Amino acid sequence: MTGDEPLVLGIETSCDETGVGIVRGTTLLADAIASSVDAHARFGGVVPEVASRAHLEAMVPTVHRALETAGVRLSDLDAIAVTSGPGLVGALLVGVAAAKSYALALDVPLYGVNHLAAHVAVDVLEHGPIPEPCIAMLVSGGHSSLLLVDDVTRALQPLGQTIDDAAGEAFDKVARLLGLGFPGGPVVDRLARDGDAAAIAFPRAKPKGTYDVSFSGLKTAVARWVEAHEGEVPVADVCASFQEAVVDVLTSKALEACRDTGVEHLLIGGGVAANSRLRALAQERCDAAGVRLRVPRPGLCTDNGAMVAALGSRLVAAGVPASAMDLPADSSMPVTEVVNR
Amino acid sequence: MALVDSGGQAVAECVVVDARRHGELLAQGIAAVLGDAGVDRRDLGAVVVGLGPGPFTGLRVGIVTAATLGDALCIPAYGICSLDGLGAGERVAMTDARRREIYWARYDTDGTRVSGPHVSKPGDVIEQLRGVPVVGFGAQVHAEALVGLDVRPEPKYPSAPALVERAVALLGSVPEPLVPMYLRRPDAEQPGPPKRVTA
Ligand SMILES: [Zn+2]
Repeated sequence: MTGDEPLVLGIETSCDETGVGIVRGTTLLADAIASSVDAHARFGGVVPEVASRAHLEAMVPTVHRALETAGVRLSDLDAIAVTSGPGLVGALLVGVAAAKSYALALDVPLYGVNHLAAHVAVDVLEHGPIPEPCIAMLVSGGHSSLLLVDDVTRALQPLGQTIDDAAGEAFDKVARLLGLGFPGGPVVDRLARDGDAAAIAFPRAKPKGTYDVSFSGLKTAVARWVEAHEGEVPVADVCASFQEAVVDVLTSKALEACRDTGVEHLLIGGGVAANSRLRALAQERCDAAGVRLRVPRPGLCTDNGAMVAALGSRLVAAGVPASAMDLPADSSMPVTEVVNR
Repeated sequence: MALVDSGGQAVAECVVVDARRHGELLAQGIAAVLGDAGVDRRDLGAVVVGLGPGPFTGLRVGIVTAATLGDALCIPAYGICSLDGLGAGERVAMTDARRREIYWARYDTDGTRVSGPHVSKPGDVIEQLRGVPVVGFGAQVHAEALVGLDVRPEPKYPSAPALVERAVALLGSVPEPLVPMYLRRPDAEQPGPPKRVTA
C-alpha cells in the first residue's frame, strides 16, 4: 500500500451513468462521470441496451479522466471496487468486467459492492464518518428504500420501500404528462418554485404499520386532475403540489422510522435527494424531531463512481474479504449483502 | 480464451461455451490460462478480442475486458471480426443471430473476408451461398432453412487461437478503437403521447 491510506478506484455502471471515482482513505480525489441521459430522453426513460452501449464506449476514457484529475496512475491503486448490483444487468456487466480486468492486471483486490450501500457510504467524503446507527432514505428513479444502517461495511436492514413506482419514476411520469421531457426531477423542482404547493390537494399514501410507500396512485391522481382541468394547465402549481405530496410522504416515513427505532441520524441519498424541497422539508422535520440530518451535495447524491470508491475504501479499512474473480452482476442484489462474493 | 506464444503456438487455452455466463467466467478463465502456461500477466505483448457479431452482452464483456487489460498492462488490444476466427480458406462462416436470423461472412480462397459481416434471414442468402462450404454452429441451428447448402459439421465456434492468428499481421501497428459489430440497432420504441387515465 502506498501512502498511509488505501487508494481505491470505484466503478459504477448500474444505470445510465458511467462513473469512475478515486478515493484515498476518506478523501475524494476524482469523480468522473459520462452520462448517456441525453440518448434516453427521446424514449422517455432509460433504455437498457442504449445504456450498455454507452458504458462500453465511455469506460476506459472515464477511468483516464479520473486518473488525470486525481494525479495518480493505475499502478498506484490498492483496490478496485465496482457496483455488482442491484441495477440493469447488461449495464452492470460492463462495469464488473472492467473492474475484474483491472484488478487482475494490477494484482489488487476486487470488491463487488451493493449500489445502495454505496449511496450511504458516499457521505463519508463530505461529512466524515457515517453516524452508525442511522436511518438511510435512498430515493432515485430506480429505488426508494428506507434502511437501518448499523455498519455500512456489514449489512443494511431494509425497513420499507416503494410498492410500485420509485420516487424518481413518479417525477419522470408526471413531467411526461405535463410535456416537460425526461428526466423529470430537475425540471419539476425548478417549476415548482413558482407554484403554490397547497393549490391542489393530491392524495398522500401513508399506510400505517409499514414503512413502504406508494406513488402510483399519486401519479394517476395528477393525470386525472390535469385531464379534468379546463383551460390552460397551471403547470407550476401542479408541479409544486405533486412534489409536496411526494416529499411529505417520504419525510413522514423517514421520521417515523427514526422515532420508532430511536435512531437520531437520518441520511438521504439517491438522485431525488438533489430535490430542493425534499432537502428543505427533511431539514425542517428533522429539526423539529431532534434528528440530525445528513445529505451529501447533489453531485454525490446522483449515481457516481465516488460512492463506490468510498465504500470500497471503507471495506479495505475494515478488513472485509475481497470478492472472487467469478463475481457476478446481480440485478436484484439484496441490500442485506454489502459485498458480493 | 487462449494464450499464444510468439511463434503463433497456442500454449494454453480455455473454452467454455455458456452464453449466459461470460461476465462471470472470462476474467477467471484468463487467470487460469496464465496460470496453466506459467506466464506472468506483465509478460503479455498484446490482447486480441472478437468484435462480434454476436450476443451483445457477451460481446461487451469480451471487449471491455480486452480494452481494460490492454490499458492496465500498457499493451495494444486488437479487435478482429469474430467470424474471421471460424474456419479457414474459402468458406461462409455462420453463427446464430437468434430471432430466426444468422450472422455470416464470406471468405475467398486465401481466407480474406470478401463480404460481411451481415445479419440476414437464412432464406434471403441461400441463393448467393450455393456451392461454398458453410461452417459454424449457426448453419446447424438453421439447417432446415439452409437446405441445399454445403454445410460442414466442423468447426462450430470461432476459436481464440484463430483470432490471434488473424491478428498477427496487426502486431506492431497502432490498434483501431475496439468498436463492437452490433449490426442491429437497440430495441427501443419512442413513446406516444401519455395514455389518458379517465375515460
Ligand atoms: Zn442510485
